[in-house]
Amino acid sequence: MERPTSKPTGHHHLELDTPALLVNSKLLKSNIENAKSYLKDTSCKLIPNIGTHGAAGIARYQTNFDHEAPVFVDTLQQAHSFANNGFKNIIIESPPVGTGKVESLHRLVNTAHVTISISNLAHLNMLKHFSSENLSALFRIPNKSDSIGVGTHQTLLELVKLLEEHFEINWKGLITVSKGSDSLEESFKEILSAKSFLQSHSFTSNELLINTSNQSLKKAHANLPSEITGLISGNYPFEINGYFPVCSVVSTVMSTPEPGRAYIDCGQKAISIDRGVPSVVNYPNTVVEKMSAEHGYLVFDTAEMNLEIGDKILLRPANYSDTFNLYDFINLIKNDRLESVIETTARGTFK
Amino acid sequence: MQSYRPNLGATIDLIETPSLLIDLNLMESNFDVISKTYSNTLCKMRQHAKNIKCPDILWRQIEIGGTLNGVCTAKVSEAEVMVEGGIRDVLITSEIVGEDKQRRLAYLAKRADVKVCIDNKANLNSLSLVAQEIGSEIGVLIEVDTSMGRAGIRTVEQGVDLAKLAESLNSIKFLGVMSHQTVDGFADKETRFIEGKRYIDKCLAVKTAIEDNGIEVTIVSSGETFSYDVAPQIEGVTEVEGGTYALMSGPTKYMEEFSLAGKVLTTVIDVTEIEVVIDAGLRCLGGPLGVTPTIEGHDNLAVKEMHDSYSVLKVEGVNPFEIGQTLFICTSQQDILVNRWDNFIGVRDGVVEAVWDISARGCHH
Repeated sequence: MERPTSKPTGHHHLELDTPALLVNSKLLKSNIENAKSYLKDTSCKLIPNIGTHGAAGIARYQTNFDHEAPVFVDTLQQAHSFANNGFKNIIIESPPVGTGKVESLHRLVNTAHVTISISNLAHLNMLKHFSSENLSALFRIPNKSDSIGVGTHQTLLELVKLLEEHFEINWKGLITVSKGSDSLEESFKEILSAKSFLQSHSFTSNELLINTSNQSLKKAHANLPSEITGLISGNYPFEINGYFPVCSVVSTVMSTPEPGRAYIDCGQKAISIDRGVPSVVNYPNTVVEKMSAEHGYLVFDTAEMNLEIGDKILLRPANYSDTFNLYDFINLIKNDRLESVIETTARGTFK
Repeated sequence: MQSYRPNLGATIDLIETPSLLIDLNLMESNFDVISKTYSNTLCKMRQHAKNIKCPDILWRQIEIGGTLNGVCTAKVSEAEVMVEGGIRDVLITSEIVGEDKQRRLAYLAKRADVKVCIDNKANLNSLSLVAQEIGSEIGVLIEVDTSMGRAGIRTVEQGVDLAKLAESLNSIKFLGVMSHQTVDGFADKETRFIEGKRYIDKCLAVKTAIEDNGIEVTIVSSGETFSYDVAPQIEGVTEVEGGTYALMSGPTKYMEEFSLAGKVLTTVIDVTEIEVVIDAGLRCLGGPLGVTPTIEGHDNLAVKEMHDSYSVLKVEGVNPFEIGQTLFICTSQQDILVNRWDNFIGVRDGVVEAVWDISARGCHH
C-alpha cells in the first residue's frame, strides 16, 4: 500500500510527498454543478459512474450526499465498496458470471438496491434463485459503437417475457453504451427502437439509460430525446476547467543528466499511459518524451527554460480512471493548499 | 482495496476472477535457473523487488540460491518494505531527491545495509548532510548511462569526479558503479551476448577509471534478465539486477529457459458470434500505449478493445467459447501489472498454496 510521508492540512500542494495524486476541490465541485445544469430542464437524470475514481468522498459530492441517488459502477466488488460507504442505489455494469459472484450479489442485495446490466439468457439464469425487491435488471442494447447486448428485438422480447413471468426480480428497462460523441444519436435510435418494439408487445421500459462519454454529455443536452431517463457519465468531474486541470499528479525532478532533459519520479506506476502520455501543466514548453515503470523523461528547449533537481512537475493524466486506480489516497487541494486526504475506497476492486 | 482471499487448498476453478496468479512450479523453475547459473560464479544475482514487491517471494529466491542475499528496489518506500520483511541488504537503483525521502533513506540505513544510486554532485552533497545530521552512513553507487538515455552520468570523467567527491564526504561510503540496459524486440542468444557485453563494458570503463585514481570499487552492479548469463562471464561484474525473470512477460518470451509464471485468471462473461468478453480490463491488466496482453493457449483469440473493467476479444474462425469459461491472460509488462494488484494467489498443480500481500504496491517514491 501507499507509504507517503504525511503532510498537515494547509501544506502547499507542490511540497507533498511525490508522486501524489491531486484533485482541485473547487474546480471539482464547479464541474459537478455544471454537469448537473446540462440536464436541469429535462426529466433525464445524471447518473455518475463513480467507478471512474473509486472514491466515496467524491461520489458524495456527485450525489448531493443523497445515498438513495442512483450511482453506476463497473464491478460487483466496487458496488460492495460503495455500499459499505452508505450508497443504497447502485447500477452495476458487469453481469455476475460465476458462483462466487452470484453469492456476492446475494450479500449485496441485503444492503442496497442493486440493478444489473445483462445481455442474454445465461446472464438472466444466474439471477433465477433471487427473490428480492432489491434486485433489478436492465437489458443491454448493442449499437454501432458497442457490440455487447441482446442481439435482436425478438430475443429481447423473449427475455423480458421470461423475466416478467418467471423471475422474482424487477425488470427496470434498457441500457446502451455509447462510445464517443459520434455514436450518441445512433445509440438513442437503437434504444428507442428496442423500447418501441417492447411497447408494441405491451411491455413498458421504465428506464432508458445511456452510458456515455464526457463529451457526449454536453452534446446530449441539445439533442436529448424526452424518453431517455438517465445519462451515465464518469469523467465529467475532472474535465479541464480553466488553465489548471482538476486532476493532476505532482512529481519531482530527480536528475538532469543532459541539457534539455529531466528525469522525474513519476512513471507508469504513478500515472497511467494506457490511453496516452500525460501532459506537463506547469511548464508548458516541456513534454513527456517517454515513461518507464518508475520514471518519466521530460524534454525541453534550454533556450526557453531550465529545470533543476528538486523542481516540481504537475502532470495531467491522459486518462483519469486508470490513474485513480493506482493510488490509495487522493489529496484534495484548495487554493494550492492541502484541504484533506480522502481514500480511493474502491481502488483495485476488479471482481 | 481488494479484500478477496481464496481458501488455501481450494482448486483453481473456485478462484474468483479476475485474480493475479503465480504458477509456483514455474516460478521456482525460474529461480532454479538463477541458482544454477550463479552457483559457482563470483558474480551473484541481486533480484529486483520492483517486479515482485513482496518480501516473502523474494526470500524464496534467496533460499533457492544464486543471490548475494539482498535485493534492489526502485525507491525508498519499497526498500522500507524489504527491510521490514527481513531483507538486510538493499540497493536502491534510483536517485533519491528531497529532504523527506533522504531522511527516510538515512534512517533506514541505520537499520540495514542500504545503498543508493547517484548521478550528480548536488544530490550527493545533500545526502551527506542529511546522513550526518541523522548519524548514519549511506553507501552510494554511481549510475552510469550505457544506452537508455535515462538518468546516470554520461562520461567517464563525470564518474571519476563524483567518486572523488563521495570519497571526501562525511557519512557517505563510496561503493561502486551501476547501470541498466535493455535490448529491443526479439533477441537471440548471440545478440544478447554482444549487446549485453557492449553495455556492461561501458560501466566497467568507469570502474577502471575510478580505480586508476586510487579509489576502491567494490560493487559493479550491472546486467538484467536479458543479460543474466552474460554478466557473470565478464570479469569485474559483481552482481546482476534481474527482475523480469521471476514471473516473465510477453516481450521477453525469447528467453526460453524462463517460463511465464504470473498470469491473470479471467472469466468469459459474454460471447457473440465473433467476440468474447472477459471480466478483466485496463485497470487490472494495463495496456501501456496500446500494447495489449495475449491469451494463453488460444492463438485464435486477440484483444480487440480494452475498457476499464472488461475487454473484448476477437475470435478467429468459429467461436467455441462459452460464458463462464476461464482464460489466462499474459501481460506485456509484468511490473506495471503487479503494481495494480493487492495480492498474489500462488497455485501449484491447480491448487491454491499461498496468498501473498503485494506489500510494496503503490506510487510513492
